[in-house]
Amino acid sequence: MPARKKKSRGRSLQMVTTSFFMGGMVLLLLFVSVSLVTRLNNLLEDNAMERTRQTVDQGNASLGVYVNEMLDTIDFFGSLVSSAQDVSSEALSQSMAFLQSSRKDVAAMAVFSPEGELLASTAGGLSKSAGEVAAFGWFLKPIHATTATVYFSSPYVQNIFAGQYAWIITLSRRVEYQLDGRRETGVLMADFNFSSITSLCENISLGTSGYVYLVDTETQLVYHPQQQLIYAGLKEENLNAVKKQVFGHCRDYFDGRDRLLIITTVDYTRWRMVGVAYLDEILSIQPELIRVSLSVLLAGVLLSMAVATMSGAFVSKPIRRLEQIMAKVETGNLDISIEEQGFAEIRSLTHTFNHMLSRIRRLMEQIVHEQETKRLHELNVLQAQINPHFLYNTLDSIVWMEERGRRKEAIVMVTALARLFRISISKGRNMIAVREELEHVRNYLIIQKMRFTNKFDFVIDAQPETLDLRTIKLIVQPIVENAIQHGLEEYTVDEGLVEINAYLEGEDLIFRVRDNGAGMPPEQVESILTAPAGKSGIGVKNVHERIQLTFGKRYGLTIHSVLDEGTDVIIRLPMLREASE
Amino acid sequence: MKKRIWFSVFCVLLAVFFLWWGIRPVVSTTTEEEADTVALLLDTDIGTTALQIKQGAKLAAKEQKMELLTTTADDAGSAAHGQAETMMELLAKNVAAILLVPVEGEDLSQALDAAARQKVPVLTLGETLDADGVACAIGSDNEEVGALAARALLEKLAGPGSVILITGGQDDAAAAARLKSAETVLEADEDLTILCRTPLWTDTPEEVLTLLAGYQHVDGILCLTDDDTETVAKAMGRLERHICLVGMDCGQNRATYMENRQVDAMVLGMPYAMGYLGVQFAAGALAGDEVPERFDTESRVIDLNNMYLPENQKLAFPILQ
Repeated sequence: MPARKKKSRGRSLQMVTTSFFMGGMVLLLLFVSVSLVTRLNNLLEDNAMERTRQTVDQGNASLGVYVNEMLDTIDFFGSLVSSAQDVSSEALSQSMAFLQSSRKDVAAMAVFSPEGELLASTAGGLSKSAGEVAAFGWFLKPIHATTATVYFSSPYVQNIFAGQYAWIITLSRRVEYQLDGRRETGVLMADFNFSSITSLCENISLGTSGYVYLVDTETQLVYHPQQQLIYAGLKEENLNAVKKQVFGHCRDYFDGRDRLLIITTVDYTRWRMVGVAYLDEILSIQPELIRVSLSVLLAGVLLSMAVATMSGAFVSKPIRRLEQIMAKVETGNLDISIEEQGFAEIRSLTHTFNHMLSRIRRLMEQIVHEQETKRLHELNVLQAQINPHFLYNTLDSIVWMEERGRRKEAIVMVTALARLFRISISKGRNMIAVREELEHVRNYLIIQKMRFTNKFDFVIDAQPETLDLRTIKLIVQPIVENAIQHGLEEYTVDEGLVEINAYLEGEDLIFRVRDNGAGMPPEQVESILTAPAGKSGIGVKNVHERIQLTFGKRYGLTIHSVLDEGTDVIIRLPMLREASE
Repeated sequence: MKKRIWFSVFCVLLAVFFLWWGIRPVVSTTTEEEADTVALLLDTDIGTTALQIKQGAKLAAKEQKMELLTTTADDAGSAAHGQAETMMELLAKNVAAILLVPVEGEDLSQALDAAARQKVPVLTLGETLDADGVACAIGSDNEEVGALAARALLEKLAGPGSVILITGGQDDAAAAARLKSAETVLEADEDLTILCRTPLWTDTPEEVLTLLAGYQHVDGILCLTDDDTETVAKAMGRLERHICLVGMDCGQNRATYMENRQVDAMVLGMPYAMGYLGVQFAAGALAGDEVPERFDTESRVIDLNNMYLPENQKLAFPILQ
């Protein structure tokens, strides 16, 4: 039992399989979820970044196209001026007016002499002097240039033409023109409304609150949707982040939010376009992705728990059943067979166990049989032995009779003794005819009656059909001996009687031995057949054991006894004919 | 075994719940239909100031994910009455907040009471409103404006001189505040003589010219309202000599007047910032944040020297043409 308790405290197979399965599943799910989420997250970020970059690139391309158109316009304007016969001609003025009308974004076009004097214009007269005009950056750069490079100004409010204060970008370049028959080099300028560029920038959508702004080479704001607020000090822009980058992308944390900055350079202008996208907007799907992944992970863990629990129970169930049955076997119950079912390994184990159990059962039966045979043999040998006291007393009685001259009685006793021996030997057979058994008892009774000087009488009565039946030899004599010794010899009755009957009861052969002797108390009756060896009535017990060992538990002796009235012993045997011996 | 089955069923049900929780569509709480509408009720939709306020409000509304409804009072003849009615209409439309650019001398108390009952915050932009029920007043600090204008005049005169102060209407509380601070600055200069303090009764250049004719020598004029500044500027255009004029915002003609030296300097407010801050504060009030009762936006002195500087161009020329 202690070993069993110790065993039960150990980890169960189900627990181990469930734990391993669950642990494995959780680790697997964790690994898959983490790698999947990480990968998807990276993809999401890459995708969002790429999308944002493409949007900014597209905006930049649109701006590039527009800038290119501006360049084409000023180049065309330059070719008009260069090819004109005179820069102050009406024809050039008309061409300039036509060109301006074809481009609604052109605010003004003008040609200036090297001194800053206005030679031709679509915007009327100047409100500034030639000297003041010549001091503007858009004038100075081309006039000192050696090539016809186009210069871009930053956006500003133009104020050289009277009554006009438009937000413009000025494109300027040097130009050769004809004036009064002379070929001279001056400055050509075209003002383009800045609203066209701001519209292009405003139309670039980067999430709900993302935006685009432009900075020049000095990282000064060219355009910003919140420019007024920035100049008013109500807003700030993190220009440090884009100072060092001409193009590419970076991140910053500004105004409490993570931002993605996409930086590109606008063609020709050397401006940089900076796209500002807020990560919480462009990665708005990220929390949902994490939520879905988390839910799948939790659901997976729970499902694996369910599967692990059920599979553990399913796997361990036949083992538990086997364990329970083994416990029964442990208590000595070998008449068990387990149904082979379940997994192949369990079936194999069950089969082996059944085989082992069957073999144990056979071995046990064999041992029991051998023991029984041995016991029967011993009992038979014991039973076959003539009680030496009986023999001595009988021979002493014969001598006594001879000495007294009672020769005739001596002959009867010797004859009975001889027959007694003959039947006892029976050529070594264990089974004899009922007739012989009764003959054996009769000879014994003859001897005993003579010895006890007719103190008792006996009657032997057998149904004729029983006489040829077979019986174990020497089973009636010990009962009769017991009746004489304990019922009649020790009990002085006037007329002792031993009555022996043989008859059939159904399929059973019955020997009945009755005496009218002392009888026995019930407790003694009970102990006769169960008392240990060496006690009184050992012969009776031997007979009972011999019958049961030979024919089974159904057969044997039944004793009824009433104190002071006598004892009635029933010997039950199967009805055996000679052929079935 | 039964316990295990029940445990497994429980796990499966819980797993189904988590799966449902994970894959269920999340309904956005900030759809356009549910976005708060903030109404911008202007005194007029004409002029650069109104346009700047609108632009600033529009940007802030985009940032706050709010709808912006811009409107003006229809009844030009009695704008005040129209503004009150319009406010009531806006309240009937269940707007979340009202940004109000009030008309002078208006009785909007009933509309403000109604707004208070509906728990709709009302914020004023520019002009102040002498009434209860205003959650926040956003605008220039008139005392600062007056002081700035006075100092600009002193700087332009650069020495002793005689000046006239055009004070604005009697009911104009803003002008009165400016005048008070301006007087303080000017009176502190011993070389300066204030010839007179007068409003313009007819708002015509002729009245200004008549006023000037009454004095032998005037070096400078300080105007404390937008309208007076424009009227005086027009009068300066007719004068053969230059009188230094410092005033308030002349609207879209400010550059012309400045270029023509009809105005030497003017103090500009920041209507764009007012519109922007108005929506931001309205959103804050709706979110339960504490908003200031008064927020002063910056004012700047603009003259011909600094008008074209990048930091002032947006202020002086806010509208892209």
